[in-house]
Amino acid sequence: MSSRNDLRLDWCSSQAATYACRRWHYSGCMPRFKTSKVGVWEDGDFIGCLVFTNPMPPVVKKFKLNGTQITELARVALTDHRTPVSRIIAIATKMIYKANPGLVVLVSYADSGQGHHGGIYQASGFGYYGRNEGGRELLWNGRFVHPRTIVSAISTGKIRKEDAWSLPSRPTGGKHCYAKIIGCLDGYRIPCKTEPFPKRVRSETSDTPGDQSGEGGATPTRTLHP
Amino acid sequence: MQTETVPIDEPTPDPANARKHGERNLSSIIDSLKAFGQQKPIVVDKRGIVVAGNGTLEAAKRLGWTEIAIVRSELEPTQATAFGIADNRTAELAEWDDEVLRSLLDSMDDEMMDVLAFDSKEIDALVVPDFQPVSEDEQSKLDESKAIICPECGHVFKE
Repeated sequence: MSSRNDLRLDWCSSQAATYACRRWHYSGCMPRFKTSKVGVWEDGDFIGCLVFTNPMPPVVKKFKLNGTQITELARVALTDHRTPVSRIIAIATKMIYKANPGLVVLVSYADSGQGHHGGIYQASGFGYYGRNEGGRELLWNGRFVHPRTIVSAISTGKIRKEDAWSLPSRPTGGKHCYAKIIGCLDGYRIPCKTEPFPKRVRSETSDTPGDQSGEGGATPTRTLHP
Repeated sequence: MQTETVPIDEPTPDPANARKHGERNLSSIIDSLKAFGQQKPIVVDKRGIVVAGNGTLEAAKRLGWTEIAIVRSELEPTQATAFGIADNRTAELAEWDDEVLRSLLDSMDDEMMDVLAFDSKEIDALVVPDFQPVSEDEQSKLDESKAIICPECGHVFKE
């Protein structure tokens, strides 16, 4: 069983975060905007990171805050770990708030197209604020990918523009929105109605089983030894 | 041995090429040609058939190149075919030094990593680097917006 001495959360470099996101997060990449990165070490070994960023304007607008009062937990990129992800998120959130005391809301998304329903956020005290509509994803090299991947592939010559138009596509399942208040702002309440948590089900639009490893971008916690 | 630059359609792809260039391989060659250009000529035999570099030729065509660098082998066609096989096989028999490779990969920036033809699982197979914690100063402040001043008019933009 993990003891407190085994686990260490501390700031990590962009290089470490990029490494973790490439290998241990389904997106395979870092967010493009400014980030704050919390690394996770177990028994002295680097096992991944959590990346926080400022969310896109529509998200800021939804929560009726300004861009410096809200942060998004954009990546939970962990390899095999013993510590529950909810505990890692709790510690990282405290670190982020301590370093950024002007923050009020933490938001995060679970990609239903990846078979994620947000169990790690449910276990971390987030409220659920519904699922967005999602867009479309394209079948390329045997995998459904985000249109941004295709745009990038066209620019690097991996696929010709005329071929990209004819790729089969399907709607994505959208993303589940979770949020919690982490700071103080007089009289502020999240201006959206909470909804019942979605359940872990096989995605309507994904080939990925609902109980896949990688839920929430992290591999599930191993069974603890008695 | 002299390198020549010839029209892209001049060398003939080897119709009996024993090496298969799948999409992943071709994509990697395309990425490499885009990033580094052609750093070694393809080899053609006396008949103009490619004995080494069929993948490079195909990738260059896909990139829309109009010319390609070649060297003409003096070998007889049968010997040239044998050379083509040996050229591939000898490279195949080499092994990576994982420690050195990992260290080299760590030193590459994101853009370069994309053209190295290693996927994440392959890199994962190497040992995870010994990343150490860094100072909080290396993180962006998420509750502050940076002011950017236009050098022309002095207008202040918020990030």
